[in-house]
Amino acid sequence: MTGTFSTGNFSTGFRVKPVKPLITDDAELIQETLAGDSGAFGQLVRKYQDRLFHTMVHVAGSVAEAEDVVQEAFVQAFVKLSSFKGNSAFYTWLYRIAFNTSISRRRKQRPAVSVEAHQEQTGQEPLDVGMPVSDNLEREERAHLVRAALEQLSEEHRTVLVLREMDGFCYETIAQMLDLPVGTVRSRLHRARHEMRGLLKDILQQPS
Amino acid sequence: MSHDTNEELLSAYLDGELSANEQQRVEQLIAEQDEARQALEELRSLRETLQSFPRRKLGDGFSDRVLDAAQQHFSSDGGIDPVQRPPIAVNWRRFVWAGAAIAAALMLMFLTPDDDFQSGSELAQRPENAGQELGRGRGIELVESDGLDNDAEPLMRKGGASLSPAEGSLSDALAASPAGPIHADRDAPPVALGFAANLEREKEIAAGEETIATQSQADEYASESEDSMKRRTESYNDDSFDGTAEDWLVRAAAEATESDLVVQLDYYGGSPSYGEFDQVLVNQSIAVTEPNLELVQNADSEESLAVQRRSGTNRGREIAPSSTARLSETLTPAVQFVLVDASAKQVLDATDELRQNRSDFRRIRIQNFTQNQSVSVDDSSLDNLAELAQDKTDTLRSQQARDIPHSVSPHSSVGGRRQRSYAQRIEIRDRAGLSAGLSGKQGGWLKLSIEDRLDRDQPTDPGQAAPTKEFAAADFRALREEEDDQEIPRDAIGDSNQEVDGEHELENLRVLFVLRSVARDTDQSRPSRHESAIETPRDEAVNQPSLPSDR
Repeated sequence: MTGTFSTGNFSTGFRVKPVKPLITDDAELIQETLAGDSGAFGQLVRKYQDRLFHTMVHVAGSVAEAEDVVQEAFVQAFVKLSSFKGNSAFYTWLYRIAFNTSISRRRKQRPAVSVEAHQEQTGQEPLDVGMPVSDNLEREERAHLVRAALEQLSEEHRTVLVLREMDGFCYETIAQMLDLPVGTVRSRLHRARHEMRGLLKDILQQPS
Repeated sequence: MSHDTNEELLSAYLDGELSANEQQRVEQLIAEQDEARQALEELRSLRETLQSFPRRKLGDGFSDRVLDAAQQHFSSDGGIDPVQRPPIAVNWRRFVWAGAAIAAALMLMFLTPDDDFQSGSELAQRPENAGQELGRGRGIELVESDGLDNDAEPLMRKGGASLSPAEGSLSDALAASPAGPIHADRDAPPVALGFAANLEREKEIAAGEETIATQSQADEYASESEDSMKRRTESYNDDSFDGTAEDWLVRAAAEATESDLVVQLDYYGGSPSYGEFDQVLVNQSIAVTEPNLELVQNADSEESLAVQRRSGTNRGREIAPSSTARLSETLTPAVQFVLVDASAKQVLDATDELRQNRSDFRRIRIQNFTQNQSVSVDDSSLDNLAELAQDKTDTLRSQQARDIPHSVSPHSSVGGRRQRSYAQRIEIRDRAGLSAGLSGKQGGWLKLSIEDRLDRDQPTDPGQAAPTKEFAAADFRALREEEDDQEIPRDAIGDSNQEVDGEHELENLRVLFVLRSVARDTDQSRPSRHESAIETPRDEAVNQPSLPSDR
């Protein structure tokens, strides 16, 4: 007696189930980089540098430190690019490198200069010239208070808040980035927001 | 509901990350309580303020600085610039897989019998093939033989893990595999493990066999375009597809049986007897689909392998006493495949029991090829993982696990009875963030993800993912306890469309158990490249940034 065994769409034995596709452009740039075109990696850097930098400023604690972290993360990504399997978005992978880099550097280095202090020293933060002056001032004042409150959060709370609110990542992606259960992401976000509400009670109860 | 819980729900509501049930609760809360509305407004205001922060920029020259720094890194490190070195050279296994894929593609083109092979373009011109989907509807063929029959001739002769003899490195690698040598079979179609296209079936099928491979399927096979072959080649060239030749066989078997999960159990002292294994399945109420799939050498062709099924096994509860011994003779060391239907927690419980039963247990390797993820855990790390998972998910379990039976989507009400189905899948995640707690141990942690299938099937906002709950390994127990409370009928499990009175049901996974014995002093006792990769970030965590896996 013979049994048959259906396998649906199994075909030749050499088909594998689909790999989760990369974002097309990133995949092409990665392939080109691995094929020897470092300029392609330059494109990847330009594509993500500002996004990563903006986030890392709040994670790393200072503008200068964030810049170093971002640079180091890109270098690490370049060096290890062949180990990137494409099962997650390139940026997710890159962010995790940057996040780990930041933590590692913080362990080794002096206490980071705060965003506030650095800004006072360098005046680097630009005003949004598209807004009227009075709006800008009010906006800046709010931003100043919120930033100060943000710095009071624990690192783990600040990180999830930044990833969610500034980068707009969904819980699942944040969980992947930080290697946490989604429930923990949700819980930490709640805690972070709760603290921020407590610190910013006055301004949050006014219309922004 | 506590104030704190309400706030958390509001927070997740703002993010669109609630289950349908929770969403309903929050909407009710907002409608009823001024305090909740005020809290939500404050959360929105906070978001607006955070999002209004000026975007910082790094400038145009930053990418050049990165590339310069990378160059310096290589110079000072004595490393090799990845752009100067083809990534395929990173390890030999990638070369092997590339070779296998290329060999497969070549054999598809050149070794298929002419009278059965037509080019894609020729086939496309045939009206009866219009709209035919490539790769659809082909089957594998499993042949039962008398388990007591000494010649044990696999009735299916067309099978073969056919690999080009021209691929010397591949052949060598496979010959060195503990799974036994695999040889090229020029006479057989280029298929793995005896599955798929059955181009010579008329003259080779033994009497009494039936097959689901039809002429049209052969045509489909033959019509496969170069592009699709190229895609396959690329997929086999994927770095995630690492491992030894036996890994490849396991993967092929998983593909062929469409298994959601492969649980590979390695023992030093020889595979457990089927009876021993089966007892564990019985203990865990795991339904056996195919009790004893064997990877055997084709009797009349040394150059191919086949998967066969024994007769008289009565759903796996009985088996010929000689089978294990014969299997060992056929392939050394023995590899036995058992296909079961089981929930994720049943799989974990069964593997737990199996590892405790034997002192010569070496490791459990759980692989999910759909996700292209695998992780190996050894005996000692399982407990650590459980502890770690417990620690990591206390909050999750207390807050979310209890929602499971009640998280019913409003649109899932059918005839006044609530209906909901969950799909279970195991995801294997790396543990970059968990490494500190696992120093010196191997392992990963398992995450059970439960999706609301009904929600997923409904038209949803594309920007909003279907609600997903996740649990780490330790949560399986909590989940099981809840299920026990619900007294889900056993026969309801596995049919996601079946209505269960007011409660949920769990969809089973198709799980391929692979029982193997391994020698203590072979290469298999060393961690695989994958395992090594997992270890690396932990070892380097103090001195240099760990590089996460992108799984």
